[in-house]
Amino acid sequence: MEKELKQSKTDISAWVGQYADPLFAYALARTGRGDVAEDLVQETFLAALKSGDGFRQESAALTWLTGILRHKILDYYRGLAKKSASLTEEQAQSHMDRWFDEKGMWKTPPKSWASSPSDMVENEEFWQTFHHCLDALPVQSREAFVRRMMDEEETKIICKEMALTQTNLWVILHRGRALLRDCLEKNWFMR
Amino acid sequence: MLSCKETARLISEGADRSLPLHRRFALRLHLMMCDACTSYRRQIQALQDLFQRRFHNKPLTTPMQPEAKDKIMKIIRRESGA
Repeated sequence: MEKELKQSKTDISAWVGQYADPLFAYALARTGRGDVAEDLVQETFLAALKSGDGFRQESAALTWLTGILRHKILDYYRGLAKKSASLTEEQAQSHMDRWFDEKGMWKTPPKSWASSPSDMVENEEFWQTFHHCLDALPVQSREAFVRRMMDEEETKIICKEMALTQTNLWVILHRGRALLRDCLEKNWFMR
Repeated sequence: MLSCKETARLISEGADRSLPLHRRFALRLHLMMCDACTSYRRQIQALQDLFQRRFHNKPLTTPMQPEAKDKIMKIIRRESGA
């Protein structure tokens, strides 16, 4: 037992040297916060250490570690919902309903933007704003958005993991995209 | 005739599944006549493309601070009772 643990410790230490950077970059892109990304990577290596013989094939170590990290990121976003006063799905929906009149026509139509999203890939100031907007989404919309847009999960898998029907998921993803667009318009593209 | 509200929902839904033919037709018809929804669709698509590029095509390569790596090494040494 002791020998096994020692063995895995050696592996994990080597993995920190090899994989900390790609894992950190992955977490940073998804959380937008360096301190959070560092903590999540640390937790990932600790979880890897504790899982002991959970992993054997060296070739896929990064894939395995990324899988652990991915779940840590989802946990982080769920925890955030408890701490912050994000809108409930119902509140978010009634906020969106106010964009339209009783016939369903735009009351506040989309504005024309002062800059183009395609220029923002490496604009870190933009991504700070993006993460403020993402953090403000209702909890299910945020989780669904992260799974769909960041992790490119199939909608079937998201439905299963989040216990949603397909129709529910489409509405929740629509809410996420629409609220993000609105938040980015107000806080970035129109400022 | 679709409302703008329904159109906005279908624009998003179209990114998650292939819409049935009659919905696609109704969507196209509405977009032909509605500038606001046409802008909305363009913006949603531009954002989707942006997210795709940021999170998949061109991943970040920001390295981790050496101090943060050292901290993880220390914790692993301690946790494994070396």
